[in-house]
Amino acid sequence: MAGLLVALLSSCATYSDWVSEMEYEIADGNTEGALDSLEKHLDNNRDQVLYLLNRAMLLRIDGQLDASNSVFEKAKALIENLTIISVSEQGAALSINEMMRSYTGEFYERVLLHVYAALNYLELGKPQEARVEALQLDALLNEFAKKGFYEDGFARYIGGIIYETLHEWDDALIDYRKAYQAYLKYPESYHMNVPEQLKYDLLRMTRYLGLQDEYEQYRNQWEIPADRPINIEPDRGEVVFLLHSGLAPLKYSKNISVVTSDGELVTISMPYYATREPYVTSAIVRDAERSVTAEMFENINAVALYTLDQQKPKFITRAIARALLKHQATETASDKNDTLGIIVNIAGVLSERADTRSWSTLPNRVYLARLPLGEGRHDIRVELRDSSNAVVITREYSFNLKRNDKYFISLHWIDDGDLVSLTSNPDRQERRH
Amino acid sequence: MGARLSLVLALIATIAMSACATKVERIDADEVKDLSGQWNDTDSRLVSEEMIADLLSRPWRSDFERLKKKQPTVIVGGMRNLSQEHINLNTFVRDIERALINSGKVSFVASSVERGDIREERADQDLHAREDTRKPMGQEIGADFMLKGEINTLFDKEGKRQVRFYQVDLTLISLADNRKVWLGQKKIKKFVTKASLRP
Repeated sequence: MAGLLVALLSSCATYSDWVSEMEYEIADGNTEGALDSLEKHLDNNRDQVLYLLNRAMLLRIDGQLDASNSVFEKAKALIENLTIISVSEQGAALSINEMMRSYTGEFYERVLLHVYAALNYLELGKPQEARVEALQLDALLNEFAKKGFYEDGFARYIGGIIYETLHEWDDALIDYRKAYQAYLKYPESYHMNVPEQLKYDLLRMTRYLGLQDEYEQYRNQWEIPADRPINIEPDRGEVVFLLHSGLAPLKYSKNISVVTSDGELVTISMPYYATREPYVTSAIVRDAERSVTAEMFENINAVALYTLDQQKPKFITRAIARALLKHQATETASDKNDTLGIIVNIAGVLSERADTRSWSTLPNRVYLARLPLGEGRHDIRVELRDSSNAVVITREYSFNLKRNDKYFISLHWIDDGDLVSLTSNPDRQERRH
Repeated sequence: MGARLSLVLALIATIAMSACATKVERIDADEVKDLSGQWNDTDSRLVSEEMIADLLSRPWRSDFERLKKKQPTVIVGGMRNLSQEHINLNTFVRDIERALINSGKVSFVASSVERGDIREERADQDLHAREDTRKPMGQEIGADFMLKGEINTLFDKEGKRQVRFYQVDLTLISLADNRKVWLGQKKIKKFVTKASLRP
C-alpha cells in the first residue's frame, strides 16, 4: 500500500514545478543547460511530445535550425499516432489524474509547430520546404475549424509570406485574406487589431493582381488617404524581421477541497494560467534611409488563456467523475478496514493534480516588420524597446539580398523579467518554491 | 530445490534478454512496405521507372534521331515539391537519372551542381596533371532537352480514413526552342485507415 502511495506521489510532480530551472538557463543564454534540464525532467513516455516541442524550440533559439526541424518532424509523427484514443490512458486519467494522458498539444500549439518549422525553413533559405509546412498548416486549420477552433491570423499570414517568397501571388493573396478574416474574428480577450502591415499587403496584392473592386473596397474601408502611395511592385526584395518576445504563460494547479459528512476529504484540481508580460514590447528596424516599427501579430499569452477557458467545462466534468470514482474506492476500502480507508482517501487526494503541461518555450508575443530593400549588401539595425519605450538593446545584421528575394531574421528575446508570472488568480494557494 | 531455483532464474534471464534485444530483419529493397502511407522509396522507384519507360517510347526520340542523326542528350533540371509532405527529391531525381542512363537510349549530362565540381577538377588538371592525360576545357556536350517536373498531392481526410493522392508531372523541354516534346503524368492513390484505439 505504502509502495502504491509513493508511486502515486512521484507521478504527481507537475510540469510547472521544475520548468523555472530551465527558464533561468534560457534567460542566461545557456541553451545547452536548458536542454539538459529538459532532458532530465521530461523522460516520461507520456510527455514525449512536450519534450520534443520544447527541444525543437530550444534548438531554434540556439540557432540550430536544421536540428530543430528534424525534432519538429518527430513531434508531428508522434502527435499523429497519439491522437488515437488510448484505452489504458483514458482509464488512468479517469481514476488518478489528467496527467496520465499522453500530451498531444493544444490546438494552438499544433498550429504553431508548423509556423515555427516554416520559419526555420525560411531562415535557412528553403522556401520550397516552408511551402510544405504552409500546406500542412492549411489542412490542420481547416480540420480545426470544423471543431470550432478559431482561425490563426499569424499562421495564415506566414503562409501568405511563404507563397509571396515563391512568387505564387494568387495563393499569397488567399492566405492574406484568410489572415485578415481571422484577425477580424478574434475574441475580444486577444486585444488584437488587424496589423497595418497586413492591410498594406492586401492593398499591394489586390492592386497587382488587378482586383480593382476589392482594392477600392479595402481602401475605403480603412480610409487610406488617397495620397498615400501603395507600391505595387510585388516582387520587391525585402527583409522580414520577427521578434519572439518572452515566454508563454505557465499553468498551475488549483485545488478545491471539501470534507464530506462522513469525514472523507474530496479534492478536485483545476488548471489555470498565470499570465506573463514580455519585457520587450516593440522593435524598430532601420536601414540607412528608413525605419519601420514591428507590429504585434500573435499574442500567444492571450490565445493560451482563451483556449484553457474554452476547455473548462470539460475539465470540471472529468474532475467530478474522478472524485466520484475515488470516493467509491475509499468506501470499499473503509468497509474492509478503517486505516485502509484513510490511506486510500489520502492517496486519492494527493494524486489529484490538474494537468499543468504546456509548450512553455513558445514566446509570449510575436512582432513582425517588413522593410523593402533593393538588391545587394545591407546593414540594418534593430532596436528593442521595453514598455516604457526605453531602448533595451540594439542588434545589427548584415546580409546580401538577391534580386526580388526575401531575407528572414528571427530574434528570440528572453530576459529575467520575462519569467515573472503575474497573478491572474487572486485566491490561488499553491505556488511552488 | 537448488536445481529448481536455477531453472527459474535461467528462465527469467532468457525472457528478460529476449525482451531487450533489438530485432533487425533484412528485407529486399524491392519489397513493398507501407507504414504510414507517406511517399516512400517504392513510390519513388515505381514512378521513375514507369515514367521513363513511357518517355523513351514516345516519338520525340525517333524524330530527333532522324533529324540530327545522333542520340538526344538529356539533363535533369529543376524538380519541385508542391506537395504536403517533405519528400526527399534527391532520391527521386537519382532514380530518374538511373532509369534514363541505364536505358542506353539517350545520352545524359551532369547537372549544373555536378558540373561545377568537374570544371574545378579540369582546371586543376591543367596545372598539375601530365600533359597527355589532361582533359581540355570547352569540350562539354550541351544538352538537347531538359527534364523538369513537380510532385503534387491532394489529401482528403475524414475521421480515421484518409485518401492520399500523389501526382507526378514530368515535362521534357527542347532547349533549342522551348518546345515541350513530352508530358508524362503518373498518379498514385492510397487509402489509409488508422486504428481507432491504442493500448
